[in-house]
Amino acid sequence: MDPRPVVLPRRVTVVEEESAGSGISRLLLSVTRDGGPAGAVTWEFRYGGLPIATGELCQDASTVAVQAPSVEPFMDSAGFTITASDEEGRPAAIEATCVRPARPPTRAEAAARAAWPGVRDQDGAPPLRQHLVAETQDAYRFLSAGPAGEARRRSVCVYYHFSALLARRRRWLRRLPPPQAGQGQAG
Amino acid sequence: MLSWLVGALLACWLLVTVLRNVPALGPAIARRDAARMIPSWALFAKPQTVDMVLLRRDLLRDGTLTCWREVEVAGPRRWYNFIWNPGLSARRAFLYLANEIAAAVVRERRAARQSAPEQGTPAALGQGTATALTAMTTTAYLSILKYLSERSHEAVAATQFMIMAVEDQAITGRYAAAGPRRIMFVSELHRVRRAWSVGAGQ
Repeated sequence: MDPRPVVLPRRVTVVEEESAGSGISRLLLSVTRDGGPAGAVTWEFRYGGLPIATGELCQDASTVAVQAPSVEPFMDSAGFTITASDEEGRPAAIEATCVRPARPPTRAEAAARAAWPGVRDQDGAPPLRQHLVAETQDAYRFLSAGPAGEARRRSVCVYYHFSALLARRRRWLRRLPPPQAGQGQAG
Repeated sequence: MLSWLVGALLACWLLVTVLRNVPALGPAIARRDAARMIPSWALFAKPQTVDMVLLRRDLLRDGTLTCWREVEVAGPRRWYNFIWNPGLSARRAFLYLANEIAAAVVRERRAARQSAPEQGTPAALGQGTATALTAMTTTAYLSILKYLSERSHEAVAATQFMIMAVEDQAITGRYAAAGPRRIMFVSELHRVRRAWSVGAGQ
C-alpha cells in the first residue's frame, strides 16, 4: 500500500484593511492547474492548526473568492494557514490571501509589541518552580505574514492550567502550621 | 436645648471622623465602630493617576505565538455608561487585581535590592524571572489567568498576560499617539485547558 501523502499547511498572505470597519473577511484562493490537479480541490483554512473553514474548488475553477465569517477580530494574522488536496488526497499547490478588516493597534498594544516582541528563551524552569511546569514548547513568531514569512523559534516553559495551580496553592496552604494563640491577630 | 444636643452630637461625630482618618488612630477607632457609623474619609487619598491595561498573547496549537492584544475587561465603554454602567464592577475588580500584582512586584524588587544591594535594582521583570514565578500562586494572578483562560479560542493552547500602566488614557483615548506607559508585569505562559497536545490540529 502506498503511503498517504502528507498535506502540509501553507501560510496565508493577510491584507489588513484598517478603513474597512467591521466587515466580513474574504478569502482569495488560487490553485495552480498547470501540471497540477485536474479535478476538484478541497481546501481547509486553519487558525493555529485548527480548521475554521473548508470548501472546494470545482474542476474548472482555478481562483475563487469566498467570505470567511469565521475569521474573528481577535485572531492574529500570523496564525492563519491553508491546506489543499485533490480528489485522491494528494497535496495541491494553493495560494491564499485573506483580506480582513482590522483596527489600528492601541497605544498599549504598540508599546507592548515594541518592548516585548518575543519570549525569553527558557530551557527549563528554576528549581523552585519545576513542579509547576507542564511542558517545554517551541514557540514561533512569524515576522511577516505570508508563505515566505520568516519564523523565529524560542523554547518556552508552559506552566499548568490555573485550576491545577489553584489546587496546589490550596494544598500548600493546608500544610502550613496553624497560627499559635496570640499570633496573627493584630490589625 | 434640643438643638444644642443635636449640634453637640454632630460635632462629636465630626471630631471622631477626623480622628478616624488620622493614620495612627484610624485602626483603633475602626475596631470599636461596631455600627459602622464612622466613615473612612478618602478625600485625601492618593488618587490613581494611571490606567491599568490588560494585554494578552497566545501560543496557538501549531506553535504560533500571536501579537500582544489589549483585552477590554467587561467590553467597550458605551455612551450611556455615565448613567448605567454594569461593567464598572468588573473594571474595578481588574484594577484592584492589577494593583495587587504591581504592589507585589514593587515588594519583590525592594527585597531583591536589599538582599543583594551590589547588584542594584533588578531591571528585568516578568516571564522567565523570579518575580513572575513568585506571583504565580497569588490570588490576583490566578484570578486574571482564570478570566483569560475562560475566554480563549479553541485554537489557543497557552496564554500569557501583561499589565501595563498607561497615563492619561481615560482622557486622550486608546489610540492617541504614544504617551507615557510602563510595563508593570509579564506573566509566564499557561495552559488554557487541562490537557492539550501540540499538533492536534495539524
